[in-house]
Amino acid sequence: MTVDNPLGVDPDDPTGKDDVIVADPTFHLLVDQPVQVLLRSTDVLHDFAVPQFRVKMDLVPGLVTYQWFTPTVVGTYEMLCEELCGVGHFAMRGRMVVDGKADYDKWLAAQPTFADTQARPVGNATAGAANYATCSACHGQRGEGNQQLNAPKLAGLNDWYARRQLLDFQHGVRGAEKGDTFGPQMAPMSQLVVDPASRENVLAHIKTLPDTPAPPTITGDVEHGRRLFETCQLCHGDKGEGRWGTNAPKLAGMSDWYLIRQLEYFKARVRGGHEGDIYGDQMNMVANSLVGPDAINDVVAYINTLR
Amino acid sequence: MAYVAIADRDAHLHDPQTFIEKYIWSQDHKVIAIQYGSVAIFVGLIALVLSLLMRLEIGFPDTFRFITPYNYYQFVTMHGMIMVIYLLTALFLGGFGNYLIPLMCGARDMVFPYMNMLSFWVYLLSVIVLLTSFFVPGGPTGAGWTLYPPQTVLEGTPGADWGIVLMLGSLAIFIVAFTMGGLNYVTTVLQARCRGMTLMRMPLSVWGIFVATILGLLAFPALLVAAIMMLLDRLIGTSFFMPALLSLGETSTHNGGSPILFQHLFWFFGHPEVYIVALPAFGIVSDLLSTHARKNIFGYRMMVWAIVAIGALSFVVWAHHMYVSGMNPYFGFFFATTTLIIAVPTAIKVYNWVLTLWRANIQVNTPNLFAIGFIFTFVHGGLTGLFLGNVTVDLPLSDTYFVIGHFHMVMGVSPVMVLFGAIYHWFPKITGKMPNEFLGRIHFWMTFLGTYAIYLPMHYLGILGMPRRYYAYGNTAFIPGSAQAVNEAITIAAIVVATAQVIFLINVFYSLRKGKPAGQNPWNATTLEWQTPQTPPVHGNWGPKLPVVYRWAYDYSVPGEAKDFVPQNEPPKGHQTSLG
Repeated sequence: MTVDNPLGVDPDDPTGKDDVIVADPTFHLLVDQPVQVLLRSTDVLHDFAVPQFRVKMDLVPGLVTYQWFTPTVVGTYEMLCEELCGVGHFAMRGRMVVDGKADYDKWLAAQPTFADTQARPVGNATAGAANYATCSACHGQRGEGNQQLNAPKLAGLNDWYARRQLLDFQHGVRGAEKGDTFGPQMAPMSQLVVDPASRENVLAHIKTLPDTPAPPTITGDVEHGRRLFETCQLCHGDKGEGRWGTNAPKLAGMSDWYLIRQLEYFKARVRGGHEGDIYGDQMNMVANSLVGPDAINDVVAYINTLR
Repeated sequence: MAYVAIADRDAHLHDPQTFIEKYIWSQDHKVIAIQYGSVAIFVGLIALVLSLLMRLEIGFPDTFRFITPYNYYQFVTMHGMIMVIYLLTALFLGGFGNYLIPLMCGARDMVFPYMNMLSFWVYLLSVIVLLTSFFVPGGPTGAGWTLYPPQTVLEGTPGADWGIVLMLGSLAIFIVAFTMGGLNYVTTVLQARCRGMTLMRMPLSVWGIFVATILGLLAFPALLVAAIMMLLDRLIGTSFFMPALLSLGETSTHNGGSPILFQHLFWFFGHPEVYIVALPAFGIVSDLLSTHARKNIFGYRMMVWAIVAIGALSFVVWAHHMYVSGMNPYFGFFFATTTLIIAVPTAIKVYNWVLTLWRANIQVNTPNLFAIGFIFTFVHGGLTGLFLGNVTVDLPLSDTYFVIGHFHMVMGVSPVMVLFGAIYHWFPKITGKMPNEFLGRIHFWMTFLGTYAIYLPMHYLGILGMPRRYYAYGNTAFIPGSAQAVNEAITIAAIVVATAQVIFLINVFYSLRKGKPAGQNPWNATTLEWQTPQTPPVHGNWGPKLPVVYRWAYDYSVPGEAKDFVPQNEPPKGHQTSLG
């Protein structure tokens, strides 16, 4: 399992090429069609539950568990984890959409097969330099960020995270919420790399930029921040290095003023409020546990100490 | 007859000489019982505070800065484990088992007094190890009281470094302590009963404790091996419960283990554990009801056999905790069947308690209020168990607040009602002082009504689908906003119930100092512990001569008798008392 092969399909298996890959917390089902879900986990126990379906079954690493059901009512339903899986358990969720035939076919046709995902263009950093010229106006030549222009540091950002954010900006999942002052500036910029090849090129270029930690701009109670970070580190890593396995981006050495603004946005659902942004919704639930006037400042002050 | 009980011949085997021998390193079962009980109540209070912290977060989310998700899961775990093992098991068996078995059986002490003392000190050690985990880096484990692997020992769960090691170590030490105590209780019941005390004349309290101890001796080893195997997985990298997996994106070194194996071992212990707590409660409440209703217990023999049957059946129902665990789905049929069968002996007991009260001379006092309150809470907890015992009904309800409401009613509130009833009932014998009746009744009504206010709405939340073990609910569309109002009300009720326990503690300390002298037998009870020459009973319990039993424990309101009770050691009319 890698970033490019998130479901771990065997690349040498010819019959796996046409497998449809849905690496997305939103899943669609066809109404009135019986479904057998085969459930696997690669880390710990989880539970596949759609409370409104009265459906529930544990996912057990090392086993394939299953359950049958037939969705009968078109609509959108919450999919929850209902087996304690760690500190982030309460925020582990997805969405189940039951579609009529036409909508379902449309959705299915838009999903890539395994062969499609493997054929994704490999980014060319040199070619990406040209695309990056536009970005550098705000984010800086070396992707170091610019607080005056409200542009965060890009160098060192996990490429899978940067890709998702670009796509979210392009699709209006991010930057379109009420109260978001700076997202609407980024949204049109993201349209410059709509073409997958240029998107991958610019991501490849960002990867080559030197990752120098951003200079701290705030101070706070680091010990209080360390205690609060106990919760964050279980997804973002104890050094704030970011973890693909938990979809949690790198925090250490990134622009602290930007982290503060994003935490405030998450709390206010300015970010994570869009129905397509399920990861943002999870972050909203976690950010809400930062209570009090200093909590956000202190936790970011602690992140500043991580190098 | 030349029969002289061994204990009659030499009553001075281990008489205490100094203060330390009398109260610290004591081998007297009554002192050990009080030591066990005090420590159990102390940790129980810690667990009560933890539950309040959890409720504050659920009732008033994002308000308290000292409750982070990391801490919340630690509170959940420690609350559950402390309440089930270190409070309920220790208080019923170590506390009341120790106090009541020798006195009710007419023995001078447990048959192995030194081992009995050791049992308490090892229990205290397990408590200290458990509480130490609050002070190690990373804090106590937050894996949930069920400790399901693999997450328990992996990063991503609080306390995966030290907390879990201390938790498993503490459980292993507790089981050592329990085994020493348990062997003692069983041997004492079988070997040290006084003359005339046949098994079928034993008070039901002793029956409940006796059978529960046997359950514990058979069930705890499953937990012990599970704990040791998980310790090995954690410390030296074995793979008993650990399949090949990714830990936060990194490949772990484990390979080939089975997480479900742990669940089977855990619940093979965990289900009998429910009855380890419930059977002593069943027994004790039978005695409380009979004494305070001034009427013999209805269907004594059936009550005994129901206890034995429940004990036996409790070993073949464990996987009803695992309907959605991913085990073979066909197992569900077997375990649902056995689970529903266990309702039969349980229902017999409930009918008999109610029939004991039928047309009885019911005394309204604190112990009896708690005993009658128990019938209500237990019936409610038991009925919701029938829902959860059926696989198809369990599917939507498992891992929701319905389960929380169910098991708190049936194995939280119900045994605790009996514990309070038992404390008020035996307080006069243990201390020689009467507990304050007014404070006792306030304590009862606040606790009884308050726990209903807490747990009844939880059933409703569970039917809505509200999942348990969630720090926050975020924007979950199927949970209506009004559920938050319910949660606030539950939290307020929990605070009220916790306040009632403060009243209880005040009552205990006040009555210890200023309570009215109790006399030998304030409740006019028939069982032997009320017939001791001194109150509180001194070392050796019975003075120079052991009691002799002539009748069962339930001769209340016998027609033709002058008093409305006949103690077990009172000879029948016209009987020659000089047995020689």
